[in-house]
Amino acid sequence: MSNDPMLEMFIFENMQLTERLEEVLIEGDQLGILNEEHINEIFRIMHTIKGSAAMMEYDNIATVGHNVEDMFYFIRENEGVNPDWKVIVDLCLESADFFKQEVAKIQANQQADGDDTVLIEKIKKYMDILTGKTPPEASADDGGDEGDTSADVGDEFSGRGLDLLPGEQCFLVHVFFETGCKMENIRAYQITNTLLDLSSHIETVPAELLEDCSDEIIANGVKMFICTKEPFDIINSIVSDVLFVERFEIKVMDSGAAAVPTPVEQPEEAVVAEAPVEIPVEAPVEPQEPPKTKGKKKKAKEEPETPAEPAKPVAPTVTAAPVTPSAPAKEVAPASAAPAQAPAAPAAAQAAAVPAEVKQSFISVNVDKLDKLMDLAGELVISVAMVINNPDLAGLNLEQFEKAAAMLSKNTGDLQDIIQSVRMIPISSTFHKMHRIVRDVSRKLNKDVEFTILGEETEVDKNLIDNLSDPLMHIVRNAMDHGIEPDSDERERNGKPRVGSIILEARNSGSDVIITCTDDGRGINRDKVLAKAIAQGMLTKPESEYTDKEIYNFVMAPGFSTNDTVTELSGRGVGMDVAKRNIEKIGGSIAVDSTPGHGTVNTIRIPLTLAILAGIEIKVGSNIYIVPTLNIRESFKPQADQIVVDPDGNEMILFRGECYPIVRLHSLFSVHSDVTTFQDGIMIMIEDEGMMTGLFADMLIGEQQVVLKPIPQFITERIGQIRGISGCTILGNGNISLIIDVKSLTQ
Amino acid sequence: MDEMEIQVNNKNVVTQYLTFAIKEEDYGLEIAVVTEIIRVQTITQVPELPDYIKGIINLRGRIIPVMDVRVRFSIEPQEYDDRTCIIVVDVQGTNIGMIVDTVRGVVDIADEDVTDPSSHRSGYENRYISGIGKTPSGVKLLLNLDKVVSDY
Repeated sequence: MSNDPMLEMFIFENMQLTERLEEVLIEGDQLGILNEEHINEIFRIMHTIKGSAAMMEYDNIATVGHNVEDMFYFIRENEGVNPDWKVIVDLCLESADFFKQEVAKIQANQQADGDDTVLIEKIKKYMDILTGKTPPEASADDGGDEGDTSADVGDEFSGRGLDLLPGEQCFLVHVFFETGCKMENIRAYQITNTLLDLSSHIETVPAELLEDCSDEIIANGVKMFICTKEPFDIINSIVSDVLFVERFEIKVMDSGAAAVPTPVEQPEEAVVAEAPVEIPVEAPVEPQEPPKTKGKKKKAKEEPETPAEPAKPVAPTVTAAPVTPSAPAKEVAPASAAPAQAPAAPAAAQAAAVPAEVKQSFISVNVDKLDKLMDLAGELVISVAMVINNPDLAGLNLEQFEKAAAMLSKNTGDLQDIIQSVRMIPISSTFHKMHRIVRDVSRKLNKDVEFTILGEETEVDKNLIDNLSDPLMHIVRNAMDHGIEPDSDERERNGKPRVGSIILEARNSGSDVIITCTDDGRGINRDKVLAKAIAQGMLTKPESEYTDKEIYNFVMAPGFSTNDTVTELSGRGVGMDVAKRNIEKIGGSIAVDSTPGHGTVNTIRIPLTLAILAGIEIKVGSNIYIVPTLNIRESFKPQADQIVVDPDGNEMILFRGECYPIVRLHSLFSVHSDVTTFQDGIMIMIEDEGMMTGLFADMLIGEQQVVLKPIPQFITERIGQIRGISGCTILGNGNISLIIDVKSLTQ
Repeated sequence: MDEMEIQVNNKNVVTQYLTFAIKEEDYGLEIAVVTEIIRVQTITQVPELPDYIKGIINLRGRIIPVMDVRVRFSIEPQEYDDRTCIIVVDVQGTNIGMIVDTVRGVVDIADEDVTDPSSHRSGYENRYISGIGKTPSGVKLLLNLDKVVSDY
C-alpha cells in the first residue's frame, strides 16, 4: 500500500463509514423503516464518503455516494414520500458493498476501477419512482424498454411514447447563454426549474445540469424538452426573461404520442428570438422554494400515466433535479451569487457541519505506537521493581521510602493495566456485521430468523477481532442454512415458534472470551455425520468409543459436508474447517454441540489478547521456559516403573495405560542440568491435537501470564524455526524466557 | 584558525570510530552504526545457534541477539566481567549486540590514515577487517561490520 498518509486516512475513514452505514441500514431494516435519525446519518455518511472520494479522485465512489446522497436528500426534504424502505436499504447496501470492494482495491494498490454505472442506474431509476417520474410498477419491467433506446433518432430526447395529458404539447427549447456569463449550468438549471412547475415532463441535454457541464452548454447550448399545457407564449416569455440568455429557439414538437421517435426537425412553427440584452432585471428566475418544490412533486406524482422513463444516460432525472442541489450546488455556491444558491447553501452547510460531531470522542492511533507504549509500561514496572528491591537498600530502615515505593508500584501497575486495556475494543462491530449476513441469507433462503446479540460490549484485542469476523460469518451462515428449518410449519409441528432464532453471545471467562452462536434449528444429525465420517475414513478409533460431542465436531474436519447438494451459501465442506483453522491461528478453539431437534451451539473460546499467553514456568538447568497452560494435561513426578525404554534406546512414559515418547528438555536444548534422572525431575504431559508427549524438566516454578514475542529475525533467518521453540517473552525480572512449541514436540 | 582549516582540507574526510579491545588488539567501528553501549546482562540461550551467537537479551523491551566477537574471531573465550561491554549496532535496521572485552573511546581517523589491510596481515581475519587506521594512540583494526554480522 502507498505510504501516502492521506490515502491511508481515506481508506480508514471510508471503511469506518461504510461499516457504520451498514449498521444503520440493518438497524433500519429491522425496524422496517428508516427513521429521521437514520436518514440523517446515512445522508451524512454518504456526504462524507462522496467528499473524501472526490478529493482523492476516486470518481466512481464519489458518484455512487453522490447519487445515494441525492436520494436521501430527497427523502429528507419531502416528508410526504413513502418510499419502499426495503428497496432503499438494498440499494444502500449494494452501494456499501461497492465502496468496500473499491476500497479493497485501493488498499491492494490497484486501480479503483469498479463499474458504477449499473448501480447508479438502479439508484436513479428508484429516484425516478420516488419523485413520481416513473410509476413504481413500470420500473419493475423496464428491462424490456432499455433495448430500444437505440432507436432514439434525431435528438437526444425520448419524446416518443409520451401520453400527453389533454391539452398538452411538447416544446423543444434550445438556449444559448452569453459568452463569459459563467455558471451556464446553474442558469440553465434555473430555467428548467421554472419550467418544471408548468410542465408534466421535462428532459434536458446535458442531462445533469448540476454536474459540471458548463463547457458543453457553452459549446452546444442547453436543450430542454418539455411537455406542458402552457401555450407557446408563456414558455417564450419565461425563457426570454432569463438573464444572460443570448439567444434561444423554441420548437413546437409533435406530441410524440406515437411510439415512433419524433424527428426534431418537424416544427410547426420555429421561432428564433433574439433575446434582447436589456431584459429587465427583476426576478429573473424564482429560486426554488421548498414548498413550491413539494407542490410540484405532488403534482408530478398525481400523473402516473407519465410513461416509464427509458433508462439511458442522457435522458434521466430532470424532474429529480430539484432534489440534488445540496452537493453540486455547494461546490459552486461560494463563488456564486445566483439565486439557486440560497436554498442550497444552508443545507450544504448543515451537511458539512454535522459529520464533525460523529464519534468525536474517539481518536485513531497506530497500533505500533500502542505496542511500544505497552512495552515501555512493562519496562517501567520492571525498573520500579529494580529500584525498590535494590541491594543497596538492604538492611536500611526506610519507612517513608517504603510508603512512597508502594505508591509508585501501585501507580505503575495501574498504568500498565490501562495501556493494556487501550488495545481492547468491544466486539460489537464484528457482531453487527453478522446482522448483514443474517439479513442477506434470510432473504436468499426465505427463512425468517430473529437474530439476537448479547454481550456485544465484551472487549477483545484488536488483532483478534480482525481475525474473528470470517469464522463467525461461516458459523452464522451455517446456522441459517443448515440449522434453521426452511419450513415454518415444520417448526410449528415440533412445538417451536415459527420464526427461528439465532443468538450470538460473547462473555468473559477468566483470561478467555467465549463466543457462542446458538440456533434453535434442527440440530446436527448424529447418525448422518457419523456415517459420513466413516465413509470418508475419518475415524481413528472404534465407532462405539466416540462421544456425541466428538461426532459433532467432525463437521469441522476439512472437506466434511453433510449437505448433499452444494448451494451458493454452503455445502462445499470448506468453511467450518477454515473457520476452525482461523480461530486456532489466533490461539482459540471451537467446539460444536447439538441437541437433535432443538438446535446447535457453536462455542468459540479465544484468549483476551493475542499477545498474552497463559503459561507454566518450568526450570531446566539455569534456564526458564514457558509451556502454554492450554496444552498441559498433567504433570507429575515419574516413578521408575513408569519409564519404558525400547531396544533403540527411546525413552517412553507409561501414562494412564498408554505409552508416550519423552522429550528431555535439557538434551533437546543442550542445556547443562544437574537433574538428569527422571525421579529427580518432573514430567509434564503436553498434548496437541490428540498427540501427547512427556516433557522432562527440572521443576515447575509457577503460572505466568506472558506477552508473546517473536524470536529476532536475525536468528530465524539463519537457523530457521527452532525445534521446540515458538517464541519468547520477557519475564517480570527483565529476563527473557523461551516459549515451548508444543506442536513441534508432539509430532 | 587558518592552520586548522588547512588541516581539515589536507586530511580530507575525517570519520569517527568507536574503539574497543579484544585480547591485545584494538578495533574500530564506525560510530554511525553504533546505537548504544550497555553492560553485559543476562543472556538467554537459544538452542541450535552458532557458537558465536550467545543468545538473546532484553534491550528495553526489545529482544535482540548478541554475538561474542571473541568467538566470532576464533579467539579463545573469556569470562565476562565488569569491563565487558555490549555494543549495540544497527545493521540495516536489525539491532545486534556485540560483546567485546572493553570499550576504549571515540577517535577521529582521517581517510588518508586508513590503509588497506591486505598489506599488513593475511589469513581468515582479513575478511572482517575493512582497513587499518593509524592514530596517535596506536593502530586500530577497522571492522567490516556487514561481514562480521552477515557471514555465516
